[in-house]
Amino acid sequence: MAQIVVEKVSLSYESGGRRKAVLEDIDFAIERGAFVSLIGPSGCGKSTLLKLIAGLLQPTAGRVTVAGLAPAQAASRRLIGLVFQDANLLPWKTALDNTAFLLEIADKSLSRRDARERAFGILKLVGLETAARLRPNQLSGGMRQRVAIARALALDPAILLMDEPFGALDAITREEMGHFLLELWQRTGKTILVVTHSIGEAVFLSSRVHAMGQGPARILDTIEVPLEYPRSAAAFEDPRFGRTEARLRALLLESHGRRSAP
Amino acid sequence: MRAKEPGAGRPGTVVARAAEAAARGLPALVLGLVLIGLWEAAIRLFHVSPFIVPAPSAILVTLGRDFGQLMLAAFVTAKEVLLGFLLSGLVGVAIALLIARFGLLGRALYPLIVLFQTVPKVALAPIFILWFGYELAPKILLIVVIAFFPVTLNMLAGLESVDPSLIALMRSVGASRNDIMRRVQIPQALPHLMSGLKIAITFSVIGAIVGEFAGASAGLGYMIQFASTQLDTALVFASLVVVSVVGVIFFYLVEWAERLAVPWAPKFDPLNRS
Repeated sequence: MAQIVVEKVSLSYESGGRRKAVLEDIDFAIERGAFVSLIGPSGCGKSTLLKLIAGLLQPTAGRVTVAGLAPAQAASRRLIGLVFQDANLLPWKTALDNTAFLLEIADKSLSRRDARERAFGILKLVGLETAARLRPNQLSGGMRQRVAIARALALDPAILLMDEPFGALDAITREEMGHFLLELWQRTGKTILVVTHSIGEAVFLSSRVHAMGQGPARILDTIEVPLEYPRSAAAFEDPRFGRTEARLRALLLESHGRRSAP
Repeated sequence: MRAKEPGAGRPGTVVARAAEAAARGLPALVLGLVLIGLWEAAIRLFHVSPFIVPAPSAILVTLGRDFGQLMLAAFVTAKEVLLGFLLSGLVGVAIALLIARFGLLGRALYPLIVLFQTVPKVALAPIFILWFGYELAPKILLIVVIAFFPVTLNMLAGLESVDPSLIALMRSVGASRNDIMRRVQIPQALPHLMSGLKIAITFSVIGAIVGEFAGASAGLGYMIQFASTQLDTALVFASLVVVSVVGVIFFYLVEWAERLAVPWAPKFDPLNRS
């Protein structure tokens, strides 16, 4: 059953008396419990699309539903967890308090103690229980991003929307975080939609990749990743990984070439 | 993946910290002593009249001779500085919060405040004396009009420095405008506010002295003016030394308060640069 449905969505805005299209005729559906990536060049509109699904923006045409609801409604029912490229942790709060932060706002009936108790459980889930009392400046980049994921998970959302979640990390930490995210997904069964511009990351993580072109952004193609879960580092050596990666690269390069051709 | 050392860079004991601070302050102390030495030598060598520039040794003698009187004056000025500074902080923060919280009011208020800043505040001192007499009020008012602006500007910068993604994140779970202000914007603005307060405390000392110049019967500003009419230049300089000491003490008190209030904020340490 589709949990996220994007139907003929377009978004444009007025600039200097001219209408500028950002997204055009985007159409896809994501099933409950799926791990899907949106890939495309920087600035193509992937993040804008993610914000539409999160209910932070409204489309100018078309419709987005999340679990059968309008995105803003789904967000207010805590069905959506958001993670951005920048962990955006509050520097004056410990990892534990940062994890409990959104939960405390979302559920004002919850006592501080209960919120922190639940947050500690989530920190355990992401393997950071020993870092609960540390402040963000005492954590590594990967740990900070784990806290950001824990903060989203503390709301117990059915869906995790992640915008370049590992974009600010070094290559090794990025790969480690990929393994961590897959493991987390398998343990929690959440629906995950990741926006990335890394082809390898998209293929390694997801069961399906929507490739986007720009100017205005549209779905170029949807590619099923023919690799079984659970996936390990060995997946990178699998010929199917290489073939899928090559196919996506060709698709994106072709779109880029078409766009930059005179 | 490892946590950074929580205590990294934190010296072990109070003694070690004091020794480190002394070592860091050493270049300034040496330079200061060298300059004073050169000053003393120049006065003696060129036989400069003590009415024009007194020698550091003469200032030291005056400091000892009039110590009681200088301390009484310092107490008066310090009281003005403290009250004026606290009020500047309150006014500065209140204006920043109003501007940040209420868009229309902010758009109306901000240009007027900027316009007001172009008025030379020193010129207001006689008007305040005219309105409020020779008591404490005109000095406090003068300090506030001089010192609130850096507090407002820094606080505003802090309130508006919150990452839009974080605001989006909070909005997505139903945070109200007040939630965002109270839980994120205000705490985030605290390091900026402390920077503004450090500027405000130095402005407060200037405001107090200017206020006393314009009309007072006590305080270091009054002392400077009185001594200059008596051609007691050594006392003028001695008073200036005490003003500087008062200013430095207040500045470091604010810095100490900053360390207590925002221990998590990155610190700029001008004495510890490579």
